[in-house]
Amino acid sequence: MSKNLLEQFENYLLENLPQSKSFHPIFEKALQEMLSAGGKRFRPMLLLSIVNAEQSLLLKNAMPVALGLELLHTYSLIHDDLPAMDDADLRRGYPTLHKTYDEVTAILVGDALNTHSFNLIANAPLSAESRIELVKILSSDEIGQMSILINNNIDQVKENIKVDNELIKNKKPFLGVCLGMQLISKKSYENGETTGLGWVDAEVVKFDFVNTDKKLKIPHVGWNNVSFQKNNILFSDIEDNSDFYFVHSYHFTSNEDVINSTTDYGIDFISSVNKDNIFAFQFHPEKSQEVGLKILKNFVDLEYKC
Amino acid sequence: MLKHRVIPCVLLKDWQLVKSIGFESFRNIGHPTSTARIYNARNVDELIVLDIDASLHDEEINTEIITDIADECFMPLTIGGGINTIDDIYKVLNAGADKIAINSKALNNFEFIKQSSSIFGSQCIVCSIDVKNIDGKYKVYNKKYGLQEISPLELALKYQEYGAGEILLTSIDKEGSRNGYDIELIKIFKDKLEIPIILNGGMGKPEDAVAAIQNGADAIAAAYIFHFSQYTPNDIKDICLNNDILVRTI
Repeated sequence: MSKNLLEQFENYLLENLPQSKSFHPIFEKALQEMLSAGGKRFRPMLLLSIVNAEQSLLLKNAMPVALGLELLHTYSLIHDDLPAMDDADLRRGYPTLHKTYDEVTAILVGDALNTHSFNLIANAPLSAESRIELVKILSSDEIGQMSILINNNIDQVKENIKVDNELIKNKKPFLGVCLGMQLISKKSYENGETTGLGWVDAEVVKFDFVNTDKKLKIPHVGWNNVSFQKNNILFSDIEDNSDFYFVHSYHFTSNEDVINSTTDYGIDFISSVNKDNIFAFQFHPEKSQEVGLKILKNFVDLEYKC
Repeated sequence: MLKHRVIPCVLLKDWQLVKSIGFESFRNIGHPTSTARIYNARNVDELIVLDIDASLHDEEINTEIITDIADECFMPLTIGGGINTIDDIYKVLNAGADKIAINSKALNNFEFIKQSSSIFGSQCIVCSIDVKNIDGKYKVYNKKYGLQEISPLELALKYQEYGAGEILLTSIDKEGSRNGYDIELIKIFKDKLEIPIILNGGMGKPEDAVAAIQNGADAIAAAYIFHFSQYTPNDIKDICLNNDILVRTI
């Protein structure tokens, strides 16, 4: 039965490959290539098997939805293989799309498949309620988007572990500047919530003067004093309270004993941290002329011994 | 405490830095890299370079020269002129700029400000507004699109709403005049914006900076005074300090 089902689906797929009628020489070919390259068809088969068991009369009507699922899945694979992500050369034994053609084609084919999957579902011979529900489920955070995001994040996490190994185990010196400081926190609230590298127990929040009588402007742009809180090897030969250049709207908050300096902008916020081989500055040493270049020199001179 | 900034603002034209008077006649002030090197040696707080070839003549942004300037700058560098796409911003930032000044493109497209500030962060996006006094009324003027209906303050508030991080406000009447900043203009903006405002155009002597800051400017930009007078940026800062205005001194 299931072999029959798979055959039915494969036939349906080949008859209904997405088309793109245009003068473009290769786009349509690229669009169809990865779909017809085979694969387990696990997602459409799961759906069709359930439909077959519960409502076998609806099997034909469910075909466009099954194809939509396969299109969405294929799109995620194509984008996943891109150089910016996995940078994979092969998929299902065939060269990946960006290898056969180019990156632009691979991105556009992915985009087209993503959109077309919803078009298929929206036009399926099912009740309007069912179609809306299907689109809702497939695009909801929990199932559709999230599964794609989660899969990609796993690769990202693997990448992070590599970096973590270099930094935490091998103690390679690290210098973070501005956003580079914010990244080492556990979480940032810039445009929503984003997980950081988590090397320091800290969070990144926006300056907030709403409930204060201070009318300070955001972003905090310009030169401001950096008050040393602790001896930091990178501050050697620099006068306490020297001016450094800042340009940011978000700042670090932390209770961990890593604070190296603070700066007064309505509040005394954390302007630099140091934890073992990790150094990070909210201000820009590279844009703070002599004192800034001194920090960079101190970093370069650092003979890190662990 | 945060300091008020004193910022040279120069124009890039035909591979040279120039200074204009009322946006029209141009005077050569030197080669970009040597000028940037001198500013860096004098510890100016920032540098703004506006590429007028790119903005007026729709030429490609000269990233080659921006790279050369950035190589000399160990202070923040703002680049403007000819910014029309997100790709342009990438290019200019990759060439070494820290901030981007947008004028014409922003005027007709607030969404572009929103998009660019969400990609690069508000701290990177400076919106530039040029103002002309027409019969006692301040009007937004654009070299490409002429006089605008919207008032300078309304426009600045729009830019702020859509994510701009700073406003560069230039008085065309005062620009190159050497007879002081447009104080009436900056008064309109005092305490109205939540983002910093850089006032540009007209500084002829250090006292002009004091008046501008006391009346609401967070930072001041100038060109003439640094090139064609005996004053240095530090002379300006000394006068500011004498008037209890916080500035950075080296």
